[in-house]
Amino acid sequence: MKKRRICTILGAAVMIAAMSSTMVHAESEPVTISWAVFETDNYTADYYQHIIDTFEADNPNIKIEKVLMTGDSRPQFLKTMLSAGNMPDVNIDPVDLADIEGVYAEVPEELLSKYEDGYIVTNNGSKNLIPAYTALRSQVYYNKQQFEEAGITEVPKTWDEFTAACDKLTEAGFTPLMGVGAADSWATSFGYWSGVVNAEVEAAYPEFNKQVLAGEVSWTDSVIEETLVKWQDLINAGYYHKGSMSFSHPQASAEFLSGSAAMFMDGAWACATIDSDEAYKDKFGVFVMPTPSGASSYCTMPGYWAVSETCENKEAAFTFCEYVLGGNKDLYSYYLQADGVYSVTKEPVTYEMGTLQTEFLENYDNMEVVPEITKLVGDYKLPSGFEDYTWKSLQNVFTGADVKTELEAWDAEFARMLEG
Amino acid sequence: MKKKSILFVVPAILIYTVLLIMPIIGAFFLSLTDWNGISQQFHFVGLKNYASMLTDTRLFGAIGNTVKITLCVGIAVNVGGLAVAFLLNKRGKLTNVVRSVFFLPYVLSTVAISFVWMSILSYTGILNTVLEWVGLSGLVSDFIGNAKNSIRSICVVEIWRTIGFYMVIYLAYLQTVPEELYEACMIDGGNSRQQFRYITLPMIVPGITICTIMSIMTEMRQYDIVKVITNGGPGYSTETITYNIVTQAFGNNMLGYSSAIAVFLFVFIAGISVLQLKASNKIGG
Repeated sequence: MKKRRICTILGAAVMIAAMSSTMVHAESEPVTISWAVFETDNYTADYYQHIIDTFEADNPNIKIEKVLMTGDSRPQFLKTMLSAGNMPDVNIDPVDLADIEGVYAEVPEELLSKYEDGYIVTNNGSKNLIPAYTALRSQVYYNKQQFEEAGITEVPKTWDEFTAACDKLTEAGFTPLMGVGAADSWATSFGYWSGVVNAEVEAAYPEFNKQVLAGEVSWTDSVIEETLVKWQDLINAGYYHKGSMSFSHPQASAEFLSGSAAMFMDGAWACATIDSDEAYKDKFGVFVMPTPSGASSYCTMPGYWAVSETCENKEAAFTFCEYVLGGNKDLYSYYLQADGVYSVTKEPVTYEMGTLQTEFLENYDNMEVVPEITKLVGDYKLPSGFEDYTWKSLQNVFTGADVKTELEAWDAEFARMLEG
Repeated sequence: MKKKSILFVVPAILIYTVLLIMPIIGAFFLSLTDWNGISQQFHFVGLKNYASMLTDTRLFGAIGNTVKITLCVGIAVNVGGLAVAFLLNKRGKLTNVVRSVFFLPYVLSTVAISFVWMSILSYTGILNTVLEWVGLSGLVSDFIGNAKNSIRSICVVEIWRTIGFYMVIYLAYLQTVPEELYEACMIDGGNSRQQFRYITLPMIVPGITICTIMSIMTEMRQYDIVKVITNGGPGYSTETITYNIVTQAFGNNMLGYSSAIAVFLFVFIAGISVLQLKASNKIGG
C-alpha cells in the first residue's frame, strides 16, 4: 500500500515536472515567422528592420525572418517558392495567388472586423486576404525648371496640350519623357496603362472585368487598341528618352530626378521619395495625365497581406499582421508613410503628407475613382499570370510591334488561362 | 569480391538517381500533363504539349536566341580560350597573375557581374560616357535596350565571364603535350604553324571535345545573365529556352508545357553532345 502511494506520488511528480518543463519550453522558445517582402527606394532594408524590431520588442515569443522577394514579378517569385514547398508564412502582395485553392489561410473574422468593409474581399468563397492599405496609382511628374525654360506656363489638361508641351520641350532641347525597360518590364507600361488606358477602358466599359471574363468584350476592343496606338505615337514622335529601354525603374527614376527628362509617368510612391529629400524640394510638380478622349478618372489599388496555409504558427502570423496593420498605430503610420499609401482600418490612421503628395491627392479632387482592371481583387480578378504576360507584350508595343497583333495574342492567352 | 566492390558505388548511384535520373523522369511525366504547378489536380494530355510547341512562335524566338548565343559564345570562348592558353603556356614573370585575371570573372557571382555590366552597358552607363569622352559619340548606342544590341551584349558578357574557365582547361591539355615532340618536329624542319597543326591540335582533341560540349551545354541553359540584364526583353526579344521554361512554368502557370520544353532541351543537348563526341573520336583517331 505504502509502495503504491509512493509510486503514485512519484508518478504525479514526474508528470508535473514534465508539464512544467513543457510550459517553460513553450514560453521560452520563440516561434519564427517568415515574412516575404520586397525592397524599393522607399521600402528599404532599414525600414523593414524597424518594423521587425518594434514588433519583436512587444512580442518576444515571435521572431520575424525576412524573405526578400527578388525579380520584377512577385507572383512569379511566390509561385516558385510555393512549388518548392518553401512558401513564406506571411506574404505582402499575395493577390495573384489568392484565388488558388489552398494557398492562403482564412483570415479570422475578428481581425477582418477592424478594416473597412469595402476592402474585404472573397476569393472562391474564402476571405483569405488582410487589407493592408490603399494606394493611388500614377500621375505625370514634371521638372518645373525645364517646363519654365520651355515656356510651358500651365500643366497640360488635354491630350493636345500634352503633345504640344512635348514639342515645346523638344524644341527647347529637353527630352520630354522618361521611360523604363531592362529588367523592370512592369514599369514600361505602368504609368500609361494605369493613368490613361485604364481611364479610357473604364469610361467605355464601367464593368470591364465582368464583361471581359464573360467574353462580352475582348482585349482587341477598339478603345484599348486606339489608346495603345496613341502611346506608340508618343514613342514614334521621339518624346521618350532614347535610353528608356535600357533603364531599370530605379535607374529611370534617378535619371529623371537628375534632369535627363522633363516628365515621368510614375507611381504615387515617387511623392514619398521626392518629399523626403531636401535636394528635390520645390523642383518637381505633378499632374494627371490627360487622355486622348478626355475620359477622366483615376484608380486606386488596394494592398493586401496573407498568411500561407502551410504556415505552422498561423496564430503568431496573424498576430504579426494585426500588429503592423493597425494594431500599433504608430507602426502602421510608419508603414503607410514610407510609400505614400493610405490606411484601410475602420479607425483611420494618418501621417503628415509632404508637399508633392498633397498636390498629387488634390489633383484628384472631383474626379471619379474606378477600379484598376489588372489589379482588381475578388470575383472579377483576372487570371493569375495574365498581368505578367501583358507587361512583356506592352514592351513589344513600346519597341514598335503591331498593337492589333499583340492584342490578338492577349485574347488567345486570356482564353487559355481561363480554361486552365 | 566483385559483389563487395559494387557496394562501394551504390551511394553514388543512389545520389545520381535521386538528383538526376528521377527529376528527368519526373519532367517527362509532367510533360504529358496539364499541371499548372500549384493545384492538386492535373490531367493527362498525351503529346498535346509537344504538339503545342510546334506552333509556339515565342518558343521559336527563344530557340533562335539560344542558338545565336550558343554559336557566338561557343566559338569565341573555344578559339579565344585556346589562344589565351597558348600565350600563357610559357612561364613568365606575370604569367600566373594574368592567368588569375582571366579566370577571376568565372568565380564571381553571375548575378553580381550582370548588375555591374548593366551599369556599364545602359544608355547613360560607363561605356557610352567613355565613348563620348574620347570623341566617338557616333558609336554611342542603346546596348541593352534594343533587341539586336542586347543579344550581342549578352554574348560579350558571357564570353568575358567564361573564357578564363576554358583557358584553364586548354592550358591543362597543352601542358600534357610532351616537349620532345616539338623538338622532333623542329629537327625535321617544322615551323610553328606546323607544330601547332600536327602536334598540338591532335594532342588536345580531348580538351577541345570537353570544352565544346561544356560551352554548348552552358549556353543552351543560359538564364541568369539574361534574367538580370534584359529580363528577356525588350518584349521577348532576348528570351532563351531556359528563360522561356521558367516563365511558362511560374509566370503563365503551365508547368506541364514548360516540362515538355525542358525535355526537348534535354534531348537536343544530349543529341549535340553525342554528335560532338563521335566527331571528336573520328578526328582523334
